[in-house]
Amino acid sequence: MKNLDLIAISDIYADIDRVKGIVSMLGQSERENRTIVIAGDISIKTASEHHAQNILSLLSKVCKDLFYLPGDSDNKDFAANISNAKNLDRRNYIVDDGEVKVGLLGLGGAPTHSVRSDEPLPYLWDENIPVVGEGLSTELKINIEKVVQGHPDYIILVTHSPPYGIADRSKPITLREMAVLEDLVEELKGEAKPELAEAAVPKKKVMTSPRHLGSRILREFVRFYKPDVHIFGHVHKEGGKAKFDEATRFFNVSHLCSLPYRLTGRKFLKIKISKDNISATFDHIIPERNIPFHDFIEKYL
Amino acid sequence: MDVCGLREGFNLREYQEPLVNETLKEFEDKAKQNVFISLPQGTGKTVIALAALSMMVNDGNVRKVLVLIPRRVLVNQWVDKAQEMFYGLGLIKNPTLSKESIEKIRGWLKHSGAVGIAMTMQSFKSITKKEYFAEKDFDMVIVDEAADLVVSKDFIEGFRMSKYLKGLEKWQIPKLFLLPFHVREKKIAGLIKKFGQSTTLIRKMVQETQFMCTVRDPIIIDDPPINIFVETLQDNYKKIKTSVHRILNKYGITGYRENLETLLNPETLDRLKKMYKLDDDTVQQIQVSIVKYILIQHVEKWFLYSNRSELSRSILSVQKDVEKWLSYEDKKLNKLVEVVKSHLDQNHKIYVFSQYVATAELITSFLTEKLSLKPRDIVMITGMDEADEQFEKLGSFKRVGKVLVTTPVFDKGTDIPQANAIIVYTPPLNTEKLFQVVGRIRGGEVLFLAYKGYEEATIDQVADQLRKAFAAATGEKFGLNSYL
Repeated sequence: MKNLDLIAISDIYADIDRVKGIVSMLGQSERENRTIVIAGDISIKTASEHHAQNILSLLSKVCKDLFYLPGDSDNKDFAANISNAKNLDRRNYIVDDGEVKVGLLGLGGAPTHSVRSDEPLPYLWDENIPVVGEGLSTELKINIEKVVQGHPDYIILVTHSPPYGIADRSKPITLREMAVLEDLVEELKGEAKPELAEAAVPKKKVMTSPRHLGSRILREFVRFYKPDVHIFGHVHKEGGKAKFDEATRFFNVSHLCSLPYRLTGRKFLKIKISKDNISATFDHIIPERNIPFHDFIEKYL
Repeated sequence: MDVCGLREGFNLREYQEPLVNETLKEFEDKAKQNVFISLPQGTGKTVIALAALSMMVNDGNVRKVLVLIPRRVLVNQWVDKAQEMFYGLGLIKNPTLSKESIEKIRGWLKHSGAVGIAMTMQSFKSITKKEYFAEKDFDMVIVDEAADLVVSKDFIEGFRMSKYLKGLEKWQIPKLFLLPFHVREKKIAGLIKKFGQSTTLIRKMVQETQFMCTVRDPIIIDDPPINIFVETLQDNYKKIKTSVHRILNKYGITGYRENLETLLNPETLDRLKKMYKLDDDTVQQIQVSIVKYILIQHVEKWFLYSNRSELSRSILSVQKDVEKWLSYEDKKLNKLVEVVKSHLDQNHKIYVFSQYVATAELITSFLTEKLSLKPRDIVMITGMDEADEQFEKLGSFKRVGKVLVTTPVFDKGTDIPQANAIIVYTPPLNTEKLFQVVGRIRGGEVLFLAYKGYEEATIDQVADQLRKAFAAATGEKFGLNSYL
């Protein structure tokens, strides 16, 4: 039985080398059978739109369909001028390869509470404002209802933000590697010991503690509408975590970029979808896997 | 008639009474302002403090006391212990901090007969900053678990006051500080220096066999790939350290060697850049090296402390040897299961310590699964739990639990005398913390697990230090009196 191969990535942050890496790993051979989904943060706010176009163009060459949505660091109105690339933000599509039919719906951007207040970003929404929260919720409901009308075998929700409480625990998001490393230094020391960590922390650092950064709107939506798969990114620290509940498989696919978490970055998710089953595995864009441990550390750490 | 005192059925232990008298003598006869009591864990420092307080209240020297404790959960324990053992020693605990509530608390303090307030050190910082309470409101301060009263910053400034208790050293009223025996000598000297001339130290090693633990030889796990990974990482770690030291030496930069992570601070680097005229390439070289230095430490801990979930998420998971290692079950966790099972078979209660939350979670789920433990059998307490929840969970372990898994959330002041053995799965960051951890149980066995090779050598040393400490001589031998 034929499988539909779905590759899910997110948080690329204009890292073109990593994009070239995944393009080279995937190759052309299975192109017609492959769908790529990007769960946001294709570029960074300071980069020109050309970077995002370039990234999508490269990826579009190794898949039949490319679905993307803007993350908090992308422009909300970003649109790719590529024939097989479709914007999934607040939209829905059906992928039907004749064997298996998959419904996709998406939501871009991220909740304001999930990012550091000193890093204003282009695509944020405040779900605590009733009119905003209700609006998002309604759009998601309309999209899933439309998808359901197409009678898909599976429904996949793609968002940039995680749902609240699932693979979303972190300090508010930052891309600044130094800030991330300061967190790592604190972690090395074990449980919260502010006095101990003080020496390594710059005085002007925005002090915050880890918490759930996901969206409550998304959590409620998933709880009621039970998509089969929920793919998201955004919370870099929790990238590579998967959780299954009775109805939905959740995957935090963050992050394809090699930063901010150098140890857990360069990541993507491979999902094989057949009529009867879905199987998923994470992988990394690491071409040299058979080199000795010592050389590996030298090269990739 | 005495206003307060020990309730019927409660008595001080033989060695406690002279310590209470000595404390009173220091305050009342010698007019000392600061008395530090340093005793081994489990010897009842709190009871000694309460007995001294009770006598000072009866003598009319104290009407209102302020008790400062590091964590909220310990405040509850402290106040409950005071009420359980002593009549007339009611304390208001953890007052809320709105202005309106503070006015109410002042009223309660005046009319309820409470002898004072117990609060966390964090609250102390907040209330003094907002000037809700001040020195004039109290006649005495008791600081429990006072080892972190001072924290070392760097080699130039030496010990400075903890940010939470800053200013307390200037208060003129009597202050009683309680700290464990095994606080570093240098730190005690730092405490005494901060509090000045009118300070005294009562430091005794109470030789009670019930407090002595048996430190077993580490249980060795043979898993050769781990040793290769860890030695390779250590090798890298040392090389990076040497290369950063070389750069620092080249530019004549003193300090930072004990805590290279400090060099991550952009402000520090900027300062060094200006002071020592470092070029951009050198600054970048330092940054790149330290990033790697930090990541290596992380990876090493993941390997040693069974953090397979983190390793599986990392880029290392695709390296051929790591991939193979990840494909089989964790040998250290399996050994832990074996050890815990053998104790449970003897109806023992076990305390498993991990420095890291992720490892504690892993241990809890692994033990639950492999030993078919029921939720009431195994209790995990970490800083992720709310303070009240921590207290409730501990109570549940003491009553019906079999295995307790905790992180350093309980490294201070929380007694777990019900545990017969402690398994140190990941050792704390320094010896002082280790003493605090093993001191939570009263006697019993201390067990370490270590992979054969590099970790074995390290853990052997740790176990040895612990043995020596248990066999240590009295406080005077440390020559601390010279600081007074």
